[in-house]
Amino acid sequence: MSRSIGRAGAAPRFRDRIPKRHLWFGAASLVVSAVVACLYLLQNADATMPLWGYRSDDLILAITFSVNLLTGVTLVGAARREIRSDQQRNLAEQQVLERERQLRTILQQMPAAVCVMTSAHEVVLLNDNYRKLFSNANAQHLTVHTDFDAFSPSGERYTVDRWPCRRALRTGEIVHGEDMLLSVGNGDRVWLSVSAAPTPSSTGAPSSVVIVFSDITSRRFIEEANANALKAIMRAQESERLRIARELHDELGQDLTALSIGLKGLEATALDADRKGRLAGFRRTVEMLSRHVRAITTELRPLVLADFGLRKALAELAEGWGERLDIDVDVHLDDLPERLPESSELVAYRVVQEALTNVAKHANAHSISLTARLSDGQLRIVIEDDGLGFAPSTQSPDEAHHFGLTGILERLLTVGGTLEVESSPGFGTTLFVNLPILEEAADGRALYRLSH
Amino acid sequence: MAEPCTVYLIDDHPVVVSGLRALLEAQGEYVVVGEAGDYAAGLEGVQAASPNIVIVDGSLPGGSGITLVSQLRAAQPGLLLLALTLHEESTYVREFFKAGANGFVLKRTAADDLLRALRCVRDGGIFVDPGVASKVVARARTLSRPVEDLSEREETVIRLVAQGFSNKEISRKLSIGIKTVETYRARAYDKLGTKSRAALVEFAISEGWFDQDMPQRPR
Repeated sequence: MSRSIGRAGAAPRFRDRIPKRHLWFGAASLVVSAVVACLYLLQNADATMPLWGYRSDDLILAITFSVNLLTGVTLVGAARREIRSDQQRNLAEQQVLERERQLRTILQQMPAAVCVMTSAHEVVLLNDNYRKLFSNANAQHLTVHTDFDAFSPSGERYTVDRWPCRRALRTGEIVHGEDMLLSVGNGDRVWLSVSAAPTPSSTGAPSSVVIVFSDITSRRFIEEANANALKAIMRAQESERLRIARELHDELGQDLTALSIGLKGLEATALDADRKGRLAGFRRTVEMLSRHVRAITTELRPLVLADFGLRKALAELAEGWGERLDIDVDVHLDDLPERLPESSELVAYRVVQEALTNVAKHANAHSISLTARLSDGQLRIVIEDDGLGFAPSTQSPDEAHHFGLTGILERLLTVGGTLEVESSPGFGTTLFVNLPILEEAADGRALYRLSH
Repeated sequence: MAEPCTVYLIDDHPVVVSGLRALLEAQGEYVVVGEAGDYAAGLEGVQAASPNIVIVDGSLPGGSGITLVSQLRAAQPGLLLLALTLHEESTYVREFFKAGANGFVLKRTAADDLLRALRCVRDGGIFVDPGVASKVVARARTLSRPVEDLSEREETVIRLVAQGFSNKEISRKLSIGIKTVETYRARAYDKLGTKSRAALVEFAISEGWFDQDMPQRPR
């Protein structure tokens, strides 16, 4: 596979076509002939003759010899220059080879699998990691990586044309760290972060593409474990809240009812007006206590959600906020099924609750609109207000925190949901919440979920 | 004096039950003919005692008061059913009435309202606790066909808006700029005379825009 790079292919220049030894030979023969001619001339010269008394042919001969001598000297110079340039060429060639060795060492030592693929989809350069990743353990030969099954994090299968290398070759797109799940040579499933960069060529279309595969399986595993831990914590918290809410509601609520009815009975049988009045006062206190209990219960865990499901709970929630803030709340939830998996319902409810809390805190809105629908296994919730809005420059974590979105993001993380925010100062804020309904998508997911 | 009205109490809290019994019997016109502390006993007891009025708690051991009401309603259409509950959310109110209750009283204000409620349902009326009545009245929303027709592009954009896509997603889907999306959307909103996505969704449904892509089961 290794070929020397430097001279191959380029048309040889004129100078290169004159062999050096010819130059040497020409120079030497000229010098020799000049010396011989000089000796002959000296032998036949009449020493007594004055210098200007030379015969004319002798004079011409002398000039010719001088020119010959000059040519010889020039040829020697040419030969020496040729030697120098040859040395330079050798040096350059060595440098190129050295560079190539360095490149190979880098390629080999890279912790990632790297290859170069030509526009004919042929792998021309690769490292051991690539070989390890993509060689088929049984067949003992290398398969082009686009022959393996690959999935996006959301579970979509990669068609051959969608592979980063193909996209880079076709459109010149530079792909930076795209997460893919692959079933590789030895049957393992690995998460890879794939980058692909086309190498520019003079004709415009990329002639080849450099592809780098980094194994991020452990990172994905940790991320997944983190999300699971967070989910478990939230689930524990929610179930505890539900337990306390039920207890408060059923036990304390009932006791207060009993107390209130008992007081009413006493009140009816009390004889003097003063006592009647005081009993009525107690009853009012009990009633207030019931209100408090109810408020705490609702805050802890809305029983409507547990009893009737997301659709009714969201409607109730929006209605409550509208009343409390004295603003218009427009709700459209008709496209929601009566019930969804409990974990999804909880996340969705809490997300909307936090979103509405944000509106109440920051937005100074006159109306809120809440819509939700289930489509293609995705629950899409849109919460829109006409309040102050803000200028989202980048959705950095800091900013998300500032606008009270951290809690929402955290919750969505536990179910693989996403949040998009659209806002501009003076034109309100819209939150687009997307969450996959997990249980229902179980079949599709089993395909690419890690089996740890 | 007229024949006393027979009442059956279903509540799992004994002190509440005895309080209610005392309250009712002090009036002289009511006789408590039986009481039950859970779902099954309540269902059975009412069938056996056949009272004029049943007072049902919202949440009972063994089942919800709402199901119990609907079951009793199915068994005895003429029975007067009064829900007495701690739940104040309008959802519970609606569900109770859907199940066939004649009245809805909050436990919090039962001491004052229960007798009024009983009188009301005995007279053939429907009683809703004043504290929650306002919540139950559905608010009507009107959004008719626009005076001016939507352009094709406006409709395409507004359909996606109604489906819950963000401006960014729409701009990506249609390969047009975000500002352009915003403009189309604003114009369509103007024509429809709304600013709310929820109203828009309602309009979209009335126009049958979602008929082709109603919520489907995922792959």
